[in-house]
Amino acid sequence: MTVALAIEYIPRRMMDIGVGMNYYLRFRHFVLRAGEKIELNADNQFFILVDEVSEVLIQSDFGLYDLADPTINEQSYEHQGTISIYNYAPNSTHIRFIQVIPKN
Amino acid sequence: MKRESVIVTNFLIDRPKQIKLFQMKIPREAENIIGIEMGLTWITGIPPVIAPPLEWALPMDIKRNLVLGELKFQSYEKANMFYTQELVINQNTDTADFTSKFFPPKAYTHQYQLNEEPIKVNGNTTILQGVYRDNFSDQFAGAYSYIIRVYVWLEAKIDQSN
Amino acid sequence: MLKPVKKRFDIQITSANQNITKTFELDKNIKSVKGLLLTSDKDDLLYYRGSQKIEINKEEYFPDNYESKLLMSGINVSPKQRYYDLGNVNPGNGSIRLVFQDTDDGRTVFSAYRVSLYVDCEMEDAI
Repeated sequence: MTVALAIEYIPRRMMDIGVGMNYYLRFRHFVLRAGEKIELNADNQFFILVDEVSEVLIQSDFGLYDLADPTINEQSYEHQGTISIYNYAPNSTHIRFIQVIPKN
Repeated sequence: MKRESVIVTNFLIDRPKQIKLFQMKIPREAENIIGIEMGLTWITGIPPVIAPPLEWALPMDIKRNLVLGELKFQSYEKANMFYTQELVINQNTDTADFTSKFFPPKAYTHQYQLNEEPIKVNGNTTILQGVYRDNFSDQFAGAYSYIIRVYVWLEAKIDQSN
Repeated sequence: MLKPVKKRFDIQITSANQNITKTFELDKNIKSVKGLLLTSDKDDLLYYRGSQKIEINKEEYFPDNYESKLLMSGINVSPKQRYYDLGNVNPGNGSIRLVFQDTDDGRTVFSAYRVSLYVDCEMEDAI
């Protein structure tokens, strides 16, 4: 998803789930070393993947993202809950998200 | 009735000049954030200790404290950047203390600050963004590692009509 | 209007005698927690080896060493009766804390397993 699309998409999405304008936005840029796996605790938050990134596996309650996996029929760019990110490239990778945080 | 509670986060610093960004989730019931406190657990590396003189004399000189690093907190609401504090190991706990002849003070026996730093920030912020910057390599050349513990004190109103 | 909703939270047990703590957060529009249930992909391991503490909104509902076998339901239990009835728990903060302990029991051989906590809730629906 491009940043431009995400900017359009987020307000409508938040309106859909009933949050309206009551949310914060943060831009997150993770750098993962080769083979590194991180886990994000994002209950009640949304992480929208920005730009396509290859040799990376992103999993969460909302779905999977992995461009090289032939068994996935639809890639998921929006994630929530316990999100695990695994960089299986032989080099370090940059992964960008827009983090949407509905207010308490 | 008001209830005070605390949430904790820990992280390890093991490289010089390391910068650690972290987010702390504020519980829904929290009305206000009322205090921030820091704790430290030393893991490896020997911090430079000024050797005491062979013959004890009343310590009157001021020694340079060890500045480990700096913690900053940002609220997602109007308060924005609301807290900056340096993490310091006090080297002057024995200044002008005549009992140091028999009982040399250490950081863990003669602490100079026991309470949290009081603040008042709206708990609506949902998330607190923190950044810790390690600066210890300015004073100490060797390898070192330590764990920082950050305590955030919260205040919530409890509805007692169950 | 209140709608019944089931939520699932997973943890992975990767080594024998591991103690793992995880805190999950329920959606803001969940108004009541009615019951819970534990399942696993290796139920024999969960049955013989598992015990946990469960806290909802910082209040303890099951203490440390409460055996997992007491919160599991077999297939011979009617589906509507499988959840442990908690009544109507106010989720407050919405935080559910699970402190799970795996313990050697002498009969089973350890291999990594998943433990799932299912929570039966009521959600506020706009309609």
